[in-house]
Amino acid sequence: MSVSTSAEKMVQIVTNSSLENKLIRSLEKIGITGYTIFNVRGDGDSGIQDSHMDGDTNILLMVVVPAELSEVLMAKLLEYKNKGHHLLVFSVDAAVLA
Amino acid sequence: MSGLDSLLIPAVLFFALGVFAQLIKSDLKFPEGLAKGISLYLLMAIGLKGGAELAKADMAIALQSIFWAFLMGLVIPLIGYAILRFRDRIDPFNAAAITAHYGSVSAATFLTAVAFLEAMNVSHESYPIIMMVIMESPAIIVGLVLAMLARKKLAMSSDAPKTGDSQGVNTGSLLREAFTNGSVILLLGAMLVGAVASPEAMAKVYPFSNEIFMGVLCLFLLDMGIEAAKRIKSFKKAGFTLVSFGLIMPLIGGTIGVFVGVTLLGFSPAGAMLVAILGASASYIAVPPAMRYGVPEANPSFYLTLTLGVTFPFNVVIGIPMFYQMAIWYSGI
Repeated sequence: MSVSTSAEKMVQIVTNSSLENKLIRSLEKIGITGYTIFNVRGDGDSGIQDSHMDGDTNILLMVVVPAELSEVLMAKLLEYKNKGHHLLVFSVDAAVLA
Repeated sequence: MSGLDSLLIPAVLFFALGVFAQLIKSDLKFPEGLAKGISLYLLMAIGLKGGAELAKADMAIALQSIFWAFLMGLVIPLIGYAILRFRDRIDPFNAAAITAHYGSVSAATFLTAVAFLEAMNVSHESYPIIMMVIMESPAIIVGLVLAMLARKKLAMSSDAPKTGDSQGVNTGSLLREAFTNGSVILLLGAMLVGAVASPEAMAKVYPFSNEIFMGVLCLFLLDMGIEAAKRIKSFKKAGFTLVSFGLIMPLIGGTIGVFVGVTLLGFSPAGAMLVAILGASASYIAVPPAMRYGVPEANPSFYLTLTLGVTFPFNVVIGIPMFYQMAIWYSGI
């Protein structure tokens, strides 16, 4: 039995929670209305992020969008990175159940 | 009570327990979000208590306290910036972000100082509480302005084409956030409630806001101990200059605070010590998120390591008793 799926991109962004509202507004501006946010913990260049206080609380923001839209999103996220914001952004191919 | 005795108050001992637990790699940890919840409780309780006392206080002294608190909030970060930028040791963005933390205040350090005074049965003025509210924000503005100037200087000195990207962040929205951040609103709001509510109605809230307060503070400091010890491994990355700054800056801010408290405001040594702690302490609740967004070029690892790992423990263990002795000595001159 074949299952029908569509090829899209899953973009994941790991960053500090202080950027959450701004990122969501950026998503809305480029026409992305759906997203999922997880609270996440970890360590890296920005030091320990263990959700102790707002300053060390990280989120993982995940969106699944068509490839063209993921390009627009990546360009927008690059603007954040160029300002110096600490974001880890990556995208992977996703087969979305139709 | 002096010397080692001053460390033997439950809040400080629980802080030490937290550090110890982390050092021996115990699995003791707080559920996610609990520390945030406890800090909301502490701000609300201190606001209620302070508001009720301020309602009975002298308006002229309150206004003077507000004025000097605002000025301390502006001057201390500028001194910190000058120190960090001396001989170009620290880049301007990290210097701006770090120094903003030192101009602002740490409510937990302040409350530990209150616990220290209460353990000795020493009464203190209530004005430092309103000073704490005032000092939350000005340093954020100073940090943002310093970073903005650094950005302009960098853009002028480099040949890189000016793009919208390098122009930094929306200053207007940041200013609004600096003055409407959660801690400021909760503290001010709770103070207002404490000031306008009838004493009989307030008495019903005392079991929540006063009687369990010190116990909750112990719980919070236990968590702070765990957090402080976690940051020790980042000392190497922060480097000798920054770690030394984390020890020197509270001495400078605290000395300014003793002077403001005793000479300019005429407080008792206990009240002056609380002002000193406001000057000496570094924020780790309100300022880090503001700097993460406002000065994204800075490395968050530096300022969190300094405020939580160096300055907070220093103030709790050494700063509080030392500034109290300093205030007693200076008042006697």
